[in-house]
Amino acid sequence: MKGRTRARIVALASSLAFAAIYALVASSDPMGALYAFFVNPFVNSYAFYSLLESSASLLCCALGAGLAFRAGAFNLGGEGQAAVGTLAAALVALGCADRGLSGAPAICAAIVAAALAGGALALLSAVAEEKTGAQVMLTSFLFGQAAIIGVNWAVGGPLKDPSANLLGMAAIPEGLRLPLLAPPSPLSLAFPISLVLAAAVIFFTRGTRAGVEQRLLGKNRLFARAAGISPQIGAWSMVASGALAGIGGSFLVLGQTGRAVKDMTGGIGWNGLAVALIAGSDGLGALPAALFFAWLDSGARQASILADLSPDASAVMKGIALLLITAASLGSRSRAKALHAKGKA
Amino acid sequence: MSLVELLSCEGISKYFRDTATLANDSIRLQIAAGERRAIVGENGAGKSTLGRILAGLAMPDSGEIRVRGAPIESGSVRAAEAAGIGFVPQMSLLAGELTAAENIVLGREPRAMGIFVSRRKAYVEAALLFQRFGLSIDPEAPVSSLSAAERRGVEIARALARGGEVLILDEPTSILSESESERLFGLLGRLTEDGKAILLITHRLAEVKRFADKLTVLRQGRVVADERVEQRSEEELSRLMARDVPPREAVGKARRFPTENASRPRDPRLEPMLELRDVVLAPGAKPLRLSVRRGEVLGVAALAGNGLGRLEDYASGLVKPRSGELLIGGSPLGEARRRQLRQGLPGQSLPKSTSACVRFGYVPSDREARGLCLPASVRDNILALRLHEFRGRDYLGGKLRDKAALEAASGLGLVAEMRSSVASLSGGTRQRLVLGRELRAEGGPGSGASVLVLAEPLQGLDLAAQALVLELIRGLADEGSAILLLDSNVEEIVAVADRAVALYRGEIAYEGPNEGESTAKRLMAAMTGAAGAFA
Repeated sequence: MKGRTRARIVALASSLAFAAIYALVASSDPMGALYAFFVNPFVNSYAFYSLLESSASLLCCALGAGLAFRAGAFNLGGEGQAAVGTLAAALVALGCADRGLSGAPAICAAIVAAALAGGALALLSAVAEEKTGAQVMLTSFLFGQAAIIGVNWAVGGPLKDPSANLLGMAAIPEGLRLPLLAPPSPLSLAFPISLVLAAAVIFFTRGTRAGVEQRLLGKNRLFARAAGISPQIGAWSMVASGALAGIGGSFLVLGQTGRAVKDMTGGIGWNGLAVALIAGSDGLGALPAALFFAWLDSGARQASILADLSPDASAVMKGIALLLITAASLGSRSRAKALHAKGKA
Repeated sequence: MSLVELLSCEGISKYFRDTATLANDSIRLQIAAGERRAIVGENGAGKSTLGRILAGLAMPDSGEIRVRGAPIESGSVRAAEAAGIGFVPQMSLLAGELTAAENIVLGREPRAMGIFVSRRKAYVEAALLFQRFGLSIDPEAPVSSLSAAERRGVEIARALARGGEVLILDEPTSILSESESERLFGLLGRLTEDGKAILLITHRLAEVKRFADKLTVLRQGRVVADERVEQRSEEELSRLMARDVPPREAVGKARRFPTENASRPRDPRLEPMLELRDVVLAPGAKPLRLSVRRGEVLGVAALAGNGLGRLEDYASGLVKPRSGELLIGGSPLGEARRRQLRQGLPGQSLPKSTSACVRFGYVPSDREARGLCLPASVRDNILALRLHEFRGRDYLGGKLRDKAALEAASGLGLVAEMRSSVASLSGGTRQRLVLGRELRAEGGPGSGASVLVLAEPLQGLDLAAQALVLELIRGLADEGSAILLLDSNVEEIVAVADRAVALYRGEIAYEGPNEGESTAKRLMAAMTGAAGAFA
């Protein structure tokens, strides 16, 4: 395990080096780009708080993806589950506003609605697997893509705010948004909530019987079945995974953006998968990995504003990071395999 | 060097840093053409490592391998193959989707017009090869449809097709039934008459006596004997192999069981604890009925492909039979109840008379798929059936679980780091782990009278461990457990069972009390479809 962690850290460091080289090559102001990329997100408090805020949704999606991984289910529907989360949160928040409700209970209701919506979408895949043996990896992806189309249609069509010149729903009133912690920066309560959720996931996976059962099930389904471990833990992991993605979606609506708009998830579900992969499905590793991804985003954004780096740079850098991480984890896996083969000898 | 000497090695050493074991310690070995040499030793003695080094699959730390006197590059499969060393590993490495012929030519496919792979040439080559060695295998049959013995045959043919002069076989009979093993030894015998040398890695001394003319005994990585087979008795050999347990006594005890059992009185009033009613094991076979009473070991013997695997699926409750049912303690075993029993949870659904039956142990024949979670820790594997015994706090800290796992591990002499993964354990240690957990030698809470389904429980164990396990099985039955023993090895059944059943084509071909040697003969005859001879 220690070797694997070391391999991951080396991979992260090398991806930063690649990012630096990319910034040097692609920008007309290389030194400015480097400064904007590496230093600015940490010395500019506004930029730093934005980084934390955007890591919150990502962390939730990553925790969700990791939970499903651990149970042996590849939930590729995080993006769709986050999308239905945005819709559910916006509907409930606007519904509360219509009835004159606001404050903590109403915000909680919106977040819970998002969790239920995301969880329900993931449950479909779990049920499909249980009833027909359909692979979660396929169904979660298909259901997720269908959900994105549905959410985009609803948000840009029947639920569109006619008064705004925007493909989105009405703005959520101030009293129904997550309180800002350091105005004028977008940092909201979403970040501390995501930390609490991470702590809960870590506690579940490392300190409970269900966590052990989930791990055994995820690593060898046949063994878990023969040992009498209930396969339901796998279905519940999927539901929790979807719920976390849904919560991640609700943070976008109730925090930064303040309304549900078309295509608003912008890949957090997929990035969440990448973060979970980097973190090795581990709750503890997910936090630094999510921060790292948010940093790549933030740094690339800063560099594109301050030093004419292409806005697509962050996608390239994230791609490189993922490639290196995957290579590192494959390397450590082949070493583990070698050990395994030797064990047999 | 004698003129006919084919393969020799000198000073072969191999140290595994991760497990801190010296697997091979300055090993010296010589094999002449036409020689039948056995390499024997306990689990972990370094036999397989030596085999892998000779075959170029593992790199020795030091030492030299020579073929016909010329040194070959070590750690290279290609060099070993080119020099005429063929290796048949313990676990089949054939591609199941491909046909027997395709497997034989894999990697050096014959070409048509120098470009296209010629299937016809491949089939002709395979057919000729099979014919030459008297193997009745269809070259066009996919390997997945072949029996275990036929697959072994394909592997041997494949090694020979590559010009193998020395054939190294690692535990070749571990997945074969007795008659299949006989056929294999027949084939190997013919090969040695052709001048090939055979190196048989095994821990079954009966096989050594049956087949080999020379043997090398390994103990803890060292050669402790290198002589002709007839110079030593089986007892002497097992003593030579043994590390610490004096196995003679243990084996002797195990072998005495049948006579003791035959006269052991049984209470006929006892209800069956495990019962299979009207299940069908093969298409078109008659429904069969089996029951195991409290305190009884029922041994079921069958050759591969005669319904033993299906019986295991049904008896373990993992597969619901299409017709008929499985009853444990008199009531049907549904999925929820199976889980409850497996996890040793006190069940409300159990009838009063069987309330003592709180455990349902199952040792699967496929240990690695069903019996172990290889990537998980030794601790989690050991405690997988006792998860409910620990409270929330224990899961947070883990020390109490470490301690419990360590205690359980000591029951079968399992020495392992509790938090390392099972994948890092040697094959024999993995077997002990599964057996230790399912038989629960430790006598912890929840042990005692239980229902046990044991499929090939002695597979992969050395003699000393085999004797221990047989003794344990007998002891559990004497304490009131009902044990269903599914085994393709008649000897093992006769050593421990009260009653014995032989299956042939999914039907019961023989059933009777265990009367030792005569039962063994009856079982053998029945499972090969020759029951009439003893009727």
